[in-house]
Amino acid sequence: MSSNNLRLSRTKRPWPVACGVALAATAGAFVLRMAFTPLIGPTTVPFDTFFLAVLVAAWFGGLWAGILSTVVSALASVYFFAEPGRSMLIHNRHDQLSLLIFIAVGLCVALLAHSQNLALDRAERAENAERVERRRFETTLSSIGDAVLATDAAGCVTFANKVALALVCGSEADVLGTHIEDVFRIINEFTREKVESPVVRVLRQGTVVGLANHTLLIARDGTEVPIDDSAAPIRGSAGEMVGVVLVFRDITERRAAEALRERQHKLEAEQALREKEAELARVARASAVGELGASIAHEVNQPLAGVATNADAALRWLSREPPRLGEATESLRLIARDAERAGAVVRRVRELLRKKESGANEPLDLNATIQEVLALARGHLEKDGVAVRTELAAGLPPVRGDYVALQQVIFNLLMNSSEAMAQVADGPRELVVCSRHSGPQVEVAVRDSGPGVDPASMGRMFKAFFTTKPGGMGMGLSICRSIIEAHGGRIAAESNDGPGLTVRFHLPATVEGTEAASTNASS
Amino acid sequence: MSDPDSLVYIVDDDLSVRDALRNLLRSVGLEVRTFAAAQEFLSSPRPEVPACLVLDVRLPGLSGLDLQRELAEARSEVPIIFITGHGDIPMSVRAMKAGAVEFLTKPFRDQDLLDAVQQAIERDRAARRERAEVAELRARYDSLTPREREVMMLVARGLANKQIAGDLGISEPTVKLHRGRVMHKLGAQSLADLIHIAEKIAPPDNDQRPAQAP
Ligand SMILES: Nc1ncnc2c1ncn2[C@@H]1O[C@H](COP(=O)(O)OP(=O)(O)OP(=O)(O)O)[C@@H](O)[C@H]1O
Ligand SMILES: [Mg+2]
Repeated sequence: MSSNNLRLSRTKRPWPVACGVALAATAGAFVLRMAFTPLIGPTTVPFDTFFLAVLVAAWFGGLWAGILSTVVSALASVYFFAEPGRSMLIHNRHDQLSLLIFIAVGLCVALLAHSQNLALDRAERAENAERVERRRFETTLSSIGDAVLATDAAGCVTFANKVALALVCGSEADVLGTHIEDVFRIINEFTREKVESPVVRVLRQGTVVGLANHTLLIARDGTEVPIDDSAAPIRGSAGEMVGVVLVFRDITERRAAEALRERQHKLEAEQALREKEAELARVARASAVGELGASIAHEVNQPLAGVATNADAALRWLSREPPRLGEATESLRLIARDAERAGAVVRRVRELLRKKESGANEPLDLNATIQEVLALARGHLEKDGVAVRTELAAGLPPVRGDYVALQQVIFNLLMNSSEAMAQVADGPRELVVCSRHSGPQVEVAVRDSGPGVDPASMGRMFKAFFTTKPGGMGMGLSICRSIIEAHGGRIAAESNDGPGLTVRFHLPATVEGTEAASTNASS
Repeated sequence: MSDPDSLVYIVDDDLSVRDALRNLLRSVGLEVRTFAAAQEFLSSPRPEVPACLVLDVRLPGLSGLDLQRELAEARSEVPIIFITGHGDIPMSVRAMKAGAVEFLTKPFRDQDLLDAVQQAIERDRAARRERAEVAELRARYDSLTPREREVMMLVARGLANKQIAGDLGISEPTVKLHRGRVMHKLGAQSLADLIHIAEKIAPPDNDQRPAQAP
């Protein structure tokens, strides 16, 4: 800006300067002519050196300086150097003609110099304007948050703002003049295949190009940045494409936000699904237990109803006048029969359960069972924010039993702990599952950091239908106990030293397993 | 074996229940017949004495409700007391709508059953008496000549002798004669009696006949 102000326009010189230049140039020519006088005499070639004066005046002083110089030069040369000298008369025809030519040429030179100056001025102004424009452009692009690269029509980088340099990890020296494909390398995030630079596409298509989604920019140092970009042609005054401007931005943060949002949605959906599953499982279990219960109840109810009614009838027979002892005796016989029948139903159910529970009598590795159940329960445990730790003894001897039933026991214990800990607002939610070989038995303990149980409930929690949960059946621990006892083991709960509860069960280890374990231990 | 004074039929597939109910009902002096299935009951002869049926809703094969329907179709109007292990309301509503006397859910109080049985028998006794009466009247009605029946219907509609004579185109004394014979044959003491009898033997909206016992 400032340099622009100081530089004077060639065509608009102030008039004293123009006069000064014109007179100085004319004076110079005069001196020069005088210098030639010893060689050529005083009154020959009167005009020729003054061409120079006009030329210089017009060049440096502009149109009017040229004209002034022409006029003054003509007067001076006529007066001093044309025959007869020191007079405004010209005797010589040759000189008269020369004067005319001099004036004509002088004016022409002045005009020519002027138009030349005009052209130069215009060019300079245009250049200035362009410089200003460019500076503004650069300032703007440097200060915006997006990365900007501009290229020429061949695709070589002509401009890069700071953000762009930072993203491609290069200095201006690295980048400027380099082909865009070498500076701005992009790949598809998923296929990891090279993506054609939008600049190249713009150069080919001549239209604005937006970038496909999921593009990664590979910086010069190899780092990958997810970006979003677009490119547009830069057109010259005739509409021809002179380059391309590429605008891109780092969308890591936006991505992160999106990913977070997506993850949240997914979590919510998963949570809903799990809740539904839990509900389903509960309903399934409840209805299975309920159905079994109902049918057992019906089976037992019939003979029990018979007992009650027969007893009532017996009383009636006895209260008849006279008492009907025969019928009363018959009633008692029926009572005995029905009571026996009720007992038989209960026995049968028990046998059924026992058979079912110890049905599969395979040697099995409780550690493996624990791991499998943990995998099954992971969803639930995660939902309740429970951290699980295992302390599984190596070389645990196998136990004999029903794989599914024992899985169920462990699952129930995990669920109870998880459900208990879900209630604690603060403090850790830690679940530890331990296995141990103790004497002829294998011990498994599930320890949690939940609220534990009050002493009054401690004795009742293994009873059927004891529950403190709104949706609970109170069957979990009762089923656990019957399964463990059917396997010849025992199960008990105890309060931890710290917060929480430990439920522990013991199962007899197989004899062979115990021997193997002890030889292993001794060797 | 002579027919008893009244009878209770028990249909229940459970032996304990069957025996216990028989024992209970017998202990209050009732005669009891037990059946393990609905079909068994249907195919056994039933003496013409006041009776009731104690019926288990859930029976193998023909269910209690099915039996109730079959009996209704056969116009065998024995009062039914349903007993069920799992009383559900829609089922009991259905049963009661179909004319069950009582719907007892096990375990019920024995006295409730006894009361229900007594009531049902009394109800059946009354119904039988009623049906016998109607049958008797019908038989008498059948013994009337066609003209006597015409006169009777008009009398029962409340017409005076003169109007009847006009309607039928006979003399008033002839009407009086027929009327006297109708009263006599039907055993009616008064005009009110006659109207009552006419209603009984020809119920206005249905012509249901008394059930024919097998
Ligand atoms: N780890 C534990 N921490 C605290 N209380 C527990 C724990 N395990 C069991 N309980 C208590 O014992 C009760 C009985 O547990 P149980 O597993 O038998 O039934 P439930 O979990 O209530 O219902 P469900 O039949 O659905 O398992 C629970 O309601 C709870 O009060
Ligand atoms: Mg539980």
